[in-house]
Order: sequence, then C-alpha cells, then structure tokens
Amino acid sequence: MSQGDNPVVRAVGRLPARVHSKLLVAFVGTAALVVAVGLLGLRVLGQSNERTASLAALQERAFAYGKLQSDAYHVRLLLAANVSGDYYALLNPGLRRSRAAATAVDQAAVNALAQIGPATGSDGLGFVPPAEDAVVLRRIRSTSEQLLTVIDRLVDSSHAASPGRESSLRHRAQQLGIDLNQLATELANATTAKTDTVIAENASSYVSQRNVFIGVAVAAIVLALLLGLVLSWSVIGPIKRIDARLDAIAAGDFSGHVEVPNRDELGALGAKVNRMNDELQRVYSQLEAASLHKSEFLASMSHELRTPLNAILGFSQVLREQMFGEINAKQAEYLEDILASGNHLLSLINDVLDLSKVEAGQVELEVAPFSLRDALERGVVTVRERAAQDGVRVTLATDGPVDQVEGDERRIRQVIFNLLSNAVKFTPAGGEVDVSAAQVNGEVRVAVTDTGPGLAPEDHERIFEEFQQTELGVEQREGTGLGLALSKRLVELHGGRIWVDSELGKGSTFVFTLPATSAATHRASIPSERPVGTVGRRTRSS
Amino acid sequence: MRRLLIGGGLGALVVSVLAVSLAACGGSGGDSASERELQRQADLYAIDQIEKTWHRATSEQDVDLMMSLWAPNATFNVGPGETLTGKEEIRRFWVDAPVFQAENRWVSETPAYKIRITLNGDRGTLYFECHYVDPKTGKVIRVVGADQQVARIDGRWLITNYIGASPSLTP
Amino acid sequence: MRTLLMLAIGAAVGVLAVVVLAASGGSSARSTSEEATQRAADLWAIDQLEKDFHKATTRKNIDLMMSLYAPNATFTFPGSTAVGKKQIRQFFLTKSKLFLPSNRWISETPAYKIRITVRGDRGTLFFECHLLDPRTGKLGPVTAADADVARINGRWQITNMAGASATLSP
Repeated sequence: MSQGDNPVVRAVGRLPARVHSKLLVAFVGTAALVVAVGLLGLRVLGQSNERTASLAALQERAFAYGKLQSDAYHVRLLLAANVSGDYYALLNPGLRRSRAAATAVDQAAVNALAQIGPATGSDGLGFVPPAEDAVVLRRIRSTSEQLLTVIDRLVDSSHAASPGRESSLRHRAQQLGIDLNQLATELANATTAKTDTVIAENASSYVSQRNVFIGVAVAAIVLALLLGLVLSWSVIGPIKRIDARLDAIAAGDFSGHVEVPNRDELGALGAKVNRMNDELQRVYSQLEAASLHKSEFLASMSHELRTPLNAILGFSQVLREQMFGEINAKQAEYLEDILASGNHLLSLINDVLDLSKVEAGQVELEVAPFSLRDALERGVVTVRERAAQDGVRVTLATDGPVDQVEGDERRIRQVIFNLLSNAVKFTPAGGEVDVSAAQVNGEVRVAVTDTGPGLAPEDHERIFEEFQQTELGVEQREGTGLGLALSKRLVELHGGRIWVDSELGKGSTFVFTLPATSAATHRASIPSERPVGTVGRRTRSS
Repeated sequence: MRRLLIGGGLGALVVSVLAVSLAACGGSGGDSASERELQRQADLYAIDQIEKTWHRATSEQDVDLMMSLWAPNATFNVGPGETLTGKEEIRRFWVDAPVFQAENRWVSETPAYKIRITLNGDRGTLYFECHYVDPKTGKVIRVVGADQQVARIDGRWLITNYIGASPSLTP
Repeated sequence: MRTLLMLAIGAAVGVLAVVVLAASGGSSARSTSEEATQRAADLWAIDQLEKDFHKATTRKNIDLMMSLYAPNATFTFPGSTAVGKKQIRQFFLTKSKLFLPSNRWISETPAYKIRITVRGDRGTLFFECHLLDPRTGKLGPVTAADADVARINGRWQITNMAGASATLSP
C-alpha cells in the first residue's frame, strides 16, 4: 500500500476544497501551532517573572520580620531573666538575683520594646505590608505597647511595690512577652514559609512547565509534520499516478485509466487525462486502420503499376535498339525521354513499394554477417561513373575492425547507394565525396561527406520525411523524395540511427550507424508498437 | 460551505492545540485546599506530640526520650544570659536538673487547652504549661511554661529554641 | 515511507497522551503517606475533644461542652446513664460538680497518658482529668473519661462517654 492508499491521505484528498485552500489550511495550521508554542513560552516566562517578583517582595518582608522577631526574642529573653516563678528554680535552683540587676534588665526591656512599636508601621518596615501581615503587625504593636506599660509600672514600683503586686505584674509581663515573641515568630515563620513555598513552587513549576513546553512543542512539531506529510501525499500521490498514466499513453498504451479520488484540481486533472486517453485511443484506432489501408493500397497499386511500366520500358528499349526498324533522331530522343521517365517512375514505384512494405510490417530483414567494406566499395563503384561524368571525386576510407558487420546486406547497400547517389548528385564539378566507416562507442558509423551546397538547419529533419526535398532537389527534378525516408526506416529497422551534419555552403555529412552486433532477425515493428508521433508523421507524408 | 469546512477544521486544530497547551499549564496547580488543611492538621498533631513526649520524659525521667525532642543545634535558655547550645550541652543540663532526679518522682501534667501552637511551613511555635505534681501529696510542686520554637527537620518536628516561663495557676 | 507516517502518527498520539496525562496530574490510589496524613489529622481532631472538654470544665462553658457530643450520645456516670444531648446537659448542670460555681478548678491532664484509637470514621478516646484547685495548689478529684468517638458530618464527636477511675502516678 502506498501513501496514496493511506485512508487519512485519501480522506484529505477527498475533502471538497481546492489544493490552494488545503495548503492554506496547512500553512495557517502550522503557523497556529508555532503561535501556540510561542504563547505557551510567553506564559511560562510571564509566570516565572511573576514568581521572581513575588519572591523579591517576600524576601524583603522576611528580612524586616526577621529583625522584628529578633527584637521580640531579645525582649522575651530579658523578661525570662527577671522571671520570678518556678522556672529558674526548677531548672537552676541555685540562681539568685539582685533587685538592682532586675531593674537594669527591666530598663533594657523597655529600651528594646521602644524599638518594636515603630518597626511595625510602613515607615519602619520600608514597605506596605499585605493585609494579613498588617493584622499581625497591629497585634505586635498593641502587645508591645501593653508590655511597655506593664514594665513601666514594674520599674516605677520597683522601690515600693509589694511582692504580690510585683509578682502579678511580672506574670503579666511574661505572658505578654510570650505573646509578643510568638506573634513576631509566627509572622517571620509565615513569611519564611511563603518564601520557601514560592521557591519550591518555582522549582517544581519550572520542571513541570518545561516538560509541558517540550511536550507541546514536540506535539506541535509532530502534528505539523503529520499535516505536511498527509497534505503533500494527497497532492503528490495523484500527480505520480497521472504522470505514470501519461508515460503509458506516450508509449501507446491507452488501455488504462488513472484513478484520482481527489475532489480538487488534481481530481479534475485526472478526469481530463482519462478523457484525453479515451479520445487518443479512438483517434489512434482510426489512424491505424487508415495507415494499414494506405500501405495495402500502395503495395497493391505499385505492383499493378509496375507490370505495365515494365512493358513500356521493355518495348521502349526494343524500339531504341532499332530491333524492328530504324528510327529517326527525334524518335530516338523521345524514346530516351520515355525510358528516363519510365525508369524514374519505376524507381519511384519501387521506393513507394518498399516504404509501404516497411510501414505495413511486411519487410523482413535477412540478417547475416557481411563485409561492410565490400558493400561500400560496390556502392562507390556504382556511382563512380556518374561522378566522373560530373567531375566529382569519390574516395573511400574504412577502419580494419568494421569489415564484418551483421545485417541485411541488400538493404544496407540500398542505404549506401541512396546516400552516395545523393552526394554525387548535389556536389558540383570539382567537388569531392568521401565515404568512411569507423567503430565509435560500440557501434559502426558510416559517413558520406560531400562538398555540396549544404543544408539549412530547418531541412536537417525534414529531408528524412517522405516526399520532402530541398529546394535544390526540387529544381533538379531528380530523385523521388523517398530515398532518405526509406533509408531512415531501413537503418532504424537495423536498430541504428541516421542523421545529417550540414551547414549551408559548407557541404553535408550524412551519417548512419549500425549496432556492432545486430540482433538475429529484425522485423519491421507493427504500427501499434510505434509511438504515436511516428504514425502522425507517416500520416502527414502519405 | 467549503469555507465553513476549512474554517471549522482550522479552528478545531488551533483550539485543540491551545486547549492542550493551556490544560497542560493549568494542570500543575498542586495540592488542593483540603489536602493542605489535612497536612496542616497532621503537622499540628505532630507538634502537639512534643508536649506529650516532654511530659512523658519528665514523668518517667527518661532523658533519652527528652533529648529526642531537640534539634541538633537547638538553643535552651536556662538562666539570665545563660543559653545552652547543641544537644550535648542540653543533655548535660537535663541529667543534673531536679526534674530528672530520682527523689523527684513527679507527675507532669498540663491544662492541655492552654497549649498554643502556630504553624507556618516547616516552622512553628509551641507553648504549654507544665504542672509538676507530687503524687504522694497531690500538691503542685512547680508550675512552669515552655515557650518554644519548633521546626520540621528531616520530616520530624523538633525544638530549635526554648525559653522557660513561670505562669500563674489560673484557669 | 509508510512506516515513517505510522511512526509519526504513533508519536503524535503518544506525545499528546503524555501531555494530557501530565496535565491532569494523573490519578492513583491513595498513597501510604496520604493515609498517614489523614490518620494524623484524625488523631489531632480527636485530641481536640480532650482539650475542649477541659477548657469547658475549667471555664464552666456548658455550650462548649455540649458541642463535643453527638446528638444521640450517651453519658454513663455512677448509677445512671444520660441519653441524648438534653439529658447530658442536665447532668452537667445539675449533678456534676464540674460546673458548680463554687468549684474553681483547673482541669488538666497528663497528656502523655491520652490514648486515642481511630479506625475509619470511628475511634476511642481515653484521658485522665486532674482537677487542680489553684487556691491551694493541690489536686482535687482525679478521674478519667473513656469515650467512643465518631466522625459525624465531618466532625469528630463523642458518641458514648463513661467515667473511669485513675490514680495519680507518673
């Protein structure tokens, strides 16, 4: 199963939306994922910033409350020093205190307490405490003030107060001291605890948010990739199938249809390719039938024309030989014209017959090893007399290894003769025609080079088509316009190629190649196996 | 219709991604309020145990049990300007203290409703009265108050600072 | 390529599942530490009954005392049993010496002797009551209370209480 068969990909392909819209969705979707990840990152950063800011405020408070606690603890210790009950007696029975020392301690407590009250306000703290802290701070202030009052009384009564009253005041002071110390400690502890909590939250929050961020980012990347994959395959799959179908059509296979389930431009394209396929198949069938009929007609007509023509030529020769009486000069001239025209017509009919046989698939090559050198020499010998008459020099040069080749010797000689006779025909007096053969890149290459007028670039391909001649050829009214077309077919039947290298005024070189070892037997391929283009060209030239 | 489908698909995609992102962000809220309250009560109970253990230690004259209540660097105010630091000093003090002498077999009790505990995170305060009663006469021999700072250290609540007090016998 | 596509789908589903699960924080059975926390909180709540009991007797606060009892609680004292809050209130106000205005005792306890058990929504509570006369510095009556407790509507309350004897000893 290919990606195109994936149900998700097919489902995306079937969406009733244009490719443009789908791509837009994919890009916007990917952009949305990026934005989501970005927003998440911003949120994480924002929260981190908030926590850092709150931590800084907490630390400032923790410092101030810590100092307050320290002061309260100092007061508490001073009060403990003057405790009058069982405590030190229980712990430290030998402890004795002097009244002067007690008064000094009380005075120290008063001094310490004087620091605490102002330190509970915004001015003393250096910041505005939050509401819950402000409540505790007010209680600290109130307690410290009460305690100050009690100790003031103790100090005032230290000379004259009764032991009972002093004891009562000391118990009261001690209880207030405990309250003060506990309040300050609780405030400091609460702030420290909040700080610890924020730090712990910061740490755990960083880890969890980092994990979440990574998770979401990975998910976004995977989703984006998935989106891209699915969408691209919903586009690429149909294009590949259409491409494969077009390749098959180009190879002449009209038997199949491309299946594109998309409901977008690609679906429409697939449908059009299928319609084109059907139309081409219909036209091709018609062309095939027409071509077959034409070839059969030509073969038949050529045969029917040749029979009376042979009679005309035969009797014309008999008359020219004056076998049945003398003829005058005028008659002799006309007979020569009849013979020349008849031979031209015969040549034309022979070429047409050969060509139609090739196209009708009726030519069977008789492949066998033969001497290419001999074939070339015989060709040169054949045209040499005409060349000598025209003042053209013909030369032959061959490499040793190309002596033996495989092919249909008669057909190859036909090709060589065509090229040589053309070269001699179009080469002016004093010119040269050079024939050479060599082995190049595993194939045998035969070249016929002349010093004739050369060919315009637009004629390089055209002259290999049926009945196509250069302007010069038409003026000379020589040749049938079928020789090169036939040569091309014969060379291609051997698996070779034929072409011309030429420039106007610089002569021409006609080259054809043969595989170094030809296949055992080549049959003309049947029309249905040929590319459409070939059929079209034959149709135009017929 | 087509635009609706595209818009809907796009919207669903964006919303789902954002929802996952936000859910992921908001999901790490931590303990609920009820869980925090439960933890607070458990901590209060643990701190309250210091009082019980203290009085069991003094009643049963078990110095080791007493020392199990103190943090390693605890401070203990035992007299004017006299503060002990560290368990070693504190243990030496308790070994010699009257409450741990064999002749003073007192029952240590407390008006438990007067126990005061504050708790903030891993720190807190604890105050309780100690009434040392001679079981032979039923007379209260000593009335003292224990004013302490406590902290959770390695998961256990321990005394980090202690100052004595001398409360009066009042309801 | 198809394998890659499947892997990508699998990875996406996996990552999403992990993210969603991580976001929801996961749900698992109560851990041992959570059970221990719940138990300690329950013990603390039951322990408060003793504190409030002694605060109520010391401060002669009958309403505070009655807030400790469940609606159908029973209170057994020598010779009789009070059933329901009304009878219990009557007992404290008319028969118990604890609430007599003339008795200004401080109710205290050797707290280390408090015994609490708890199992689910039910438990037991035992504590001694030492009544200290602050004027003389001497203990008066030394008794104990043996109670069954239960969590009712989220509050721990006494469902049954009986007096018990105790001796003054460490």
